[in-house]
Amino acid sequence: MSKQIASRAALFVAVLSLFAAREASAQVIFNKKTISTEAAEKITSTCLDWYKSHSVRGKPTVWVLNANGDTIYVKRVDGANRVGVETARMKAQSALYLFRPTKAVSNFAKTPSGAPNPGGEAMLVLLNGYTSAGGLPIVVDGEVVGAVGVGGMAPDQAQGIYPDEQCAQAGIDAVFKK
Amino acid sequence: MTRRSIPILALALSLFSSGHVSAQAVLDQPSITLDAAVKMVNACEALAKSKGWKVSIWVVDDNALVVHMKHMEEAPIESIQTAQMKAKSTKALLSSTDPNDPKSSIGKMMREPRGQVMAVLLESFPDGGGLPVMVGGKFVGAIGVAGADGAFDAQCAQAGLDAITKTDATSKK
Repeated sequence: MSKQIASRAALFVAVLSLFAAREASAQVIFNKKTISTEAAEKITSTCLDWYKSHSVRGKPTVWVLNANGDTIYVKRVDGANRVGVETARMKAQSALYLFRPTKAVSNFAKTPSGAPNPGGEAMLVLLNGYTSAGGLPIVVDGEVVGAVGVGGMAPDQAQGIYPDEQCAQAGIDAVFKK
Repeated sequence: MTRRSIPILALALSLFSSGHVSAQAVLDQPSITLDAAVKMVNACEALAKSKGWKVSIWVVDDNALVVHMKHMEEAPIESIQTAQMKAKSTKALLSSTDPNDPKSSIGKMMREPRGQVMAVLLESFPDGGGLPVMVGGKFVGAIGVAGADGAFDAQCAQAGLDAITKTDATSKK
């Protein structure tokens, strides 16, 4: 009986060591990169500092997602619109899933020559692509590690000024600009 | 639009812009400030860190809309959603989300099937960690905490609430 147990134990150890060997050779997992809460906090506070030092119409909400799209940090300025909260979230999600600034997401709806592209428009709808400026992916060494969405501040489209995006960019630059 | 209605409209507009609106027409709706929300999150996070708990913390306003949120590193991912649900639940309950809290309405609801159905319809999350912020008898916001044991989540939420009720940050605005 004890011999049987011993042989079973030996087999068990052998199997375990096989697993351990596989893990060591890094075939079982690979590491994705994702933004930390600390970085999200810094991005948000820098963005809100940018808002305080610029005269803009409207009040911002800042929404930060990690690489998997989980909400890890949010701040909303007192009196900010409800719609700004929703758009901040949608911009962050669009920027993350489509790995480009939300300002560029509208390019899906056009061909490179600028003609309407109905297939691209359908893609935007199916992928929940939100097209107004203010969402930026956070890219580190070519990998999307998270996204920031800012909503609530009024753009000046004639002048090409998008405070939501400038705010998000200021935040990302504060942490990741080399 | 007739010619006569234009001066009336102008008069009405000027009344609005000059603020001469009678007290009954517009009411004050108190709402929690970002400053207070940050204090709550920081106090809860400090307690969680000292105890080794990993939690997600949401502070919502009188409209159950997010004001401030923080996901502590390595807190369970589902805690992001449950913490938000706890915070939002307090708007209907106007009390703690803890069924073991004798003062909470959710405890009574959980003890009978009719109450359980009501809890589902009201989207009331029956676990400790959600606390309303009441000022002058009014619901002005709430904190929701999840990620540790329900009892610990409740302690963390209470620490957040204590941080603003002791300094009374909400009444300053």
